[in-house]
Amino acid sequence: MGRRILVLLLVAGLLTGCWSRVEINDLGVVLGIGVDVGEEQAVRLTFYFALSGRPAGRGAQVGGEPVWVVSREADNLSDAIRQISLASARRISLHHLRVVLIGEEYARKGIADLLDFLGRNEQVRYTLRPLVVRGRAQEALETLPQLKGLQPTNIVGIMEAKGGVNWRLKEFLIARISDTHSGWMFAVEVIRRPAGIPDAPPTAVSLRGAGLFYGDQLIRFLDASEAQTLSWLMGNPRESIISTPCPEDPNKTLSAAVLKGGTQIRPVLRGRTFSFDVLASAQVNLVRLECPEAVATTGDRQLLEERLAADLKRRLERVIAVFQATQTDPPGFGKRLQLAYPDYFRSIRKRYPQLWPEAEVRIATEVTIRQSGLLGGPVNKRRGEVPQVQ
Amino acid sequence: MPTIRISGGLYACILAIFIYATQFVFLPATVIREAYQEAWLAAAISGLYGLGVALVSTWIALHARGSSVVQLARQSLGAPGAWLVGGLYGAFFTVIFGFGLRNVLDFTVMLLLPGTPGIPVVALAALLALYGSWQGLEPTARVAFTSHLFAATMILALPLFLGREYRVLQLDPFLWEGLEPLARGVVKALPWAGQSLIALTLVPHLNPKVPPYRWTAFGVAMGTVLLALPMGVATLVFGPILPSRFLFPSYELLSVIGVTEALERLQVVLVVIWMAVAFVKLSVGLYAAARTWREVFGVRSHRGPAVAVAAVGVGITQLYTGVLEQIESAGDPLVTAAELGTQGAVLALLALAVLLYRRRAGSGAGLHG
Repeated sequence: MGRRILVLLLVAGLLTGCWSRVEINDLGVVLGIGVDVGEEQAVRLTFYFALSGRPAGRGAQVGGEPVWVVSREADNLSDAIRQISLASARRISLHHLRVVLIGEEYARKGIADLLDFLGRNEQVRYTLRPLVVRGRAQEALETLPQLKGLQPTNIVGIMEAKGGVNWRLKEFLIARISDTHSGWMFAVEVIRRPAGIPDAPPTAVSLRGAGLFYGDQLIRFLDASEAQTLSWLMGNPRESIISTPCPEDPNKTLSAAVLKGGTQIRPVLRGRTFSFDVLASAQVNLVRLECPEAVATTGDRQLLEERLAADLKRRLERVIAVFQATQTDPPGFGKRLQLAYPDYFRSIRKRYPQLWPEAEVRIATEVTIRQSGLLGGPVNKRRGEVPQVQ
Repeated sequence: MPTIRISGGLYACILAIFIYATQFVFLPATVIREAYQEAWLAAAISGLYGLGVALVSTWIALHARGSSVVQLARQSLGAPGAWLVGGLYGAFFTVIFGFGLRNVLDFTVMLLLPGTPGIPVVALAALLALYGSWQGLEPTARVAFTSHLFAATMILALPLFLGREYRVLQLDPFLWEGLEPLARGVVKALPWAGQSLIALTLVPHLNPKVPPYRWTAFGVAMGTVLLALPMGVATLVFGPILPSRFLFPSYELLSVIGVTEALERLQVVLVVIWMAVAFVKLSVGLYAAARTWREVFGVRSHRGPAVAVAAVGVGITQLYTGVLEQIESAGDPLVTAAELGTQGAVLALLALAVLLYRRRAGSGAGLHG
């Protein structure tokens, strides 16, 4: 009995988990990282620390939140982290890292080193969100958040609230290492806010388009409309908006929110030449209508549907032309060709990036107006209903 | 005849654990690196080899009528045969125990307790396995059932939890790189599947009322499914190339599970379950090695040899400077050949022993003289 108690005590002593423990108050929890080209050295790294265990209102803060945003420059990422750790009284922890913001200049030089660092680090999860910044990443992290307390969670909140494609480090790495896909990531920008609002921060962070990568280098930004169209080709256009001029009056417009939609990309091989048929279809909710057409009637509705479909087709043509011009392929046209015609693709495997820009892409679009908000007609009087002023 | 009896279910659980427990974490990267998205198929094919090894082992053990590996060899092949078979079998499971300890060490120190020195971790793991082996097969088998239940549920639920992470469009056409990568993947997985050789130790303890071949096949099939499934899911989630660059693709799978915003980072719970099945494997492996060495050296109890095997196992863990060297070593063609050669030699010698015994039995002499 005595021996058992002795063993139990021994085991209890070993199970305390005290070895190499770090108290939460000693952890510097990093929620966001910004990577820029340094002014004096190769890399400028910015860490956004959430200071756990410290009440708001004490210490270094941004907007009243207990955070610390710190930047250091070095020859490489690891040395930059070391530089930050030399200034940090807490042990750096990347377990809760939510966003990695990559400055435009750094992204244009190539992010291979950053991807390697993120992939190797056992604390970093593949579900974090990488974003490219139009400008400097440091500035984006230093900007005060709008509807959430901390800028990294604010950015994640924006990403989640917008709906559509959920693009994370995992997806970027898969595309980057693939033979047939190209990497891309959403872009954010620091925007100037209108002056005159008392106590309001002068700038804010906003999502704006996407960055297109060739290999590990940013080669082009897509504007907001192009990025929205990219989400069609990535298979999740939900909550995106299609706006187009009215059929009769081009000065007035209508907008429709996508309730359900998708894109089918079908490769076609004729002889030794390949092409693609793209069919984008959507069920939409008419959220805004300046046009005089009555959505309750089939004829008028069809007219509007044709307008919306034509607009969607134009957008798709424009984005695919960008892909072909830049020899990039985020949606995986090449992968579909490989899956449909494996033997043929094997024969052109190495030449595919050069052949892709020459490939014909035929686009067809179908839009069905499923609802028109809660209205069957406009709340304003139509042209014929307005009494003529004498 | 051994007095300790285990049911068919417990036997199948232990057999399955020998096929998937440590392999679940360490094998996928090696096999995916060779076979790409057909890694699951390589694991399944290697499972057939594991099944063959287990069935032959069962046949041998049944014909030995309760005798151990060493006793059977001694009766039919004489003392040199007993030394040879016992030495090979004992050494095989001593090395498996050492490798298993190293696996637990690497995984724990890298992911669970970074900053903790390896020696206390490996010493604790060895002590726990030693305690399990001292208690004998039956208590360990009961622990095996519970921990296997949790582990199997966890692995079988993986495809459901990861449903929204699948990226089917990242996959290549079937056998895109041809048959050669698949064959290389199979070769890498074979020695691990051949650990079903443990059936030689387990079958003598199997309740004689249960159909042994059926439970053997069930155990190996269960283990193979639980090994092949995460490989298939890993390529569905990460594509055919990226997981081959990971050290622990299965762990990465667990880490991307996010049922809701509030229910993520489940990997910690799941890793604890993995540790439980890994310890069962360590305990049973240590038990098999210690029992064999006991008979080879004619010692009364297996407890002393168990301490020696545990010490050797700890020593094996220190042969490697790190996980990279260990993984490279496990994939070394010489190591693969040695493992397969040992499995084949043990089975061939014991099969010969059974045939000689049967011939002798036909002429009137029994196994026990």
